[in-house]
Amino acid sequence: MIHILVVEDERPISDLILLTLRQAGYRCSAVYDGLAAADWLEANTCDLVLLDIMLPGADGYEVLEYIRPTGIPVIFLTAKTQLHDRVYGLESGADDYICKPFAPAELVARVETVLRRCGRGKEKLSMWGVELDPVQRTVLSGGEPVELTPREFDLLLYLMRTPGVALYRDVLFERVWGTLPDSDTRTLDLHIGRLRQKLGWQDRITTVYRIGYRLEKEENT
Amino acid sequence: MKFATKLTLVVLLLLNFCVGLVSTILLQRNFDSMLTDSCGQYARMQISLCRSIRDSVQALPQPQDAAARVSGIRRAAESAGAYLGVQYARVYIREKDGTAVYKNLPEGFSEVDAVRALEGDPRRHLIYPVGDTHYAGFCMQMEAAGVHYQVFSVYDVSNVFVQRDIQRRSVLVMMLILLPVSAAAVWGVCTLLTRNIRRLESAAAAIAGGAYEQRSGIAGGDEIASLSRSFDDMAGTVEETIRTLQQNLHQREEFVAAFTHEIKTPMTTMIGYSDLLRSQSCDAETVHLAAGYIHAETSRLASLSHNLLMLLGLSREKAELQIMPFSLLLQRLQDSLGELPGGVRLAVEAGGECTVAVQPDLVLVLLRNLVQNAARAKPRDGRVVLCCEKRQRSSDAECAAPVLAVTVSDTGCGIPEKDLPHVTQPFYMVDKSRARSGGGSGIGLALCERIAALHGSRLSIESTVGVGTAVTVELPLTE
Repeated sequence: MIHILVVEDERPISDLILLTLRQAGYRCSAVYDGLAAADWLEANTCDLVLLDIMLPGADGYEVLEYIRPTGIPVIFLTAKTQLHDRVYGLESGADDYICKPFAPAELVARVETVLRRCGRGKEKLSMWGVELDPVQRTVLSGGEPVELTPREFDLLLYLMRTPGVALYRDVLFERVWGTLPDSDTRTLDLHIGRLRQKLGWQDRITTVYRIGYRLEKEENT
Repeated sequence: MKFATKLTLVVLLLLNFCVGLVSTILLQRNFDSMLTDSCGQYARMQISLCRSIRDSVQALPQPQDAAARVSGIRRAAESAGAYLGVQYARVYIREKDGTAVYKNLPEGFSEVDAVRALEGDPRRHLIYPVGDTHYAGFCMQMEAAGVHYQVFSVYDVSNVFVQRDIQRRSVLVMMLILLPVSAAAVWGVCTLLTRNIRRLESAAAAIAGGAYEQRSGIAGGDEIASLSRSFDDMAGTVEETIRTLQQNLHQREEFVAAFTHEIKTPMTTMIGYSDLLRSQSCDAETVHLAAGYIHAETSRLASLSHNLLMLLGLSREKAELQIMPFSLLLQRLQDSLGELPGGVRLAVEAGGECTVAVQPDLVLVLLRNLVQNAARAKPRDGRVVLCCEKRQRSSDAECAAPVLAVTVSDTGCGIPEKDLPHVTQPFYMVDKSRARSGGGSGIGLALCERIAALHGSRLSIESTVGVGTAVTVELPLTE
């Protein structure tokens, strides 16, 4: 399982990140200042560090100096959004830069991208015998390619990133279609129906009463 | 053209004109005196010549015979010429009625010249240039054996003219030599004199180029030095102004950066948790956690915006002071304070009754902030002490006014020395996580400082880490 270290001194934000990443299937550890981060890295190792810049103890740039020799990819996480800060951050060797405030979905996508680029992440998402390649945008079911429309693919991707969670239908629609749904969400129901049919997932994608849909978790993971 | 070049050219022109004028006058006077000398000599020579001719005529055996007189004169003149040298006996002699008696004039002279001279002013000597030679002509009357003769003799005065030409030439040569030498000297002096102007110029250019700390720094008592001093004063003022402006700009940028950071942190929390809540059904524990965070951050933002509005409002207006008893103010403070964090108690050690001129709402905010800050420092004895003391305004010795010094002190953790000068800056937090958990917004002390300034005072903060902190503000007393 992929292990991510979160270095963020603001407790609420740290908790939010942990919540989001754990839900997306990552193992996470959190430390709350720069020196603790260095100590933690001394004793442990991980696949990615999410690093705040303004930290008590040692600031993000100093911690980055410490991490660089280990080759662990780093994503800066900061409220400093001025261009020179970003350039400085990337020049000093960070792999990406996430500006506060950020949406949790954006965080997961960035983490996935960086992990993939560094060859540490999963190339593909797989579940219930379905294998999804987010880069090639291909889906294999039991080794056989499945033809999906772009919307169906996006919907499946979103579901597979949040397995075991009951998702509200209006937000699910908004995430996939990018707009708020008109009064009814028949379009969403239609796409869910097609996905169930194409993948044979009639009992994998369950309808949750008055909420929306849930992709069931695989028991063994 | 450079100033030094102009100056050099003008000085050279004047110098040459003067030298030329003086040498011309000197040469002319020298020439005149030499000519006069020579002429005097020749005039005497003519007299002795005439005398010898007259003597020889009177010594004639028959001086009444005209022919004998003529031949006698001719002989006498020739023998005088032989004796003196022929160039000293160039003479033309005629009788008064115009009959020429003897003529021995140099080449180029005609009888007409002689006659014209003799019929003119007899006292004048005339200069006759003939080719390269100059002659001086003299006229004289002579009586010999009862007959009146007129004698005109010429002498060569070329050497005087030659002398003059030689002198002229040498003056010219000297001036030709003098010109480059004096040009170099004048150039050097001008360059030296305008050196300070160039320094001033380069200083001005440097300042124009952005080196505001540049000064000309020319010492001395002349106009350029005084100009340099004025210039340096001006540059100093400009530098000061620019530094102030830059400082203001920097402070504003820092404020905006800190403010943005302060806003973004709660924003991230609020957006993140609300997004989580609305996108999926969470368990009760997560919902509670998320709602709790959203509530806390929203409250913090609300207090921040309230304080910020107050801070911005204060910077514009001047407070209207009201006269009221200090005890009333303390009463209102205790009423509005509510419960202090960590069960800390407020102990008031007020002196005697007094009235102060204050803006009561603002002073309440100030005192409340100070007390809450002190309580947040977790005093070891569990109390915050507020004490008052009447005294003269400490900051301004000249117009000492009676003030009430209000001190809020605690026995808490204290402020590190390096942070002390910064604690009144907006969003400066000595210990971020502790300030947050205590509910501080980051601009409380900045607000206090502003309120103190409106009352003509400022916060004086004394603190020792691990011992405690005492913040004093002076409020104007009224009789």
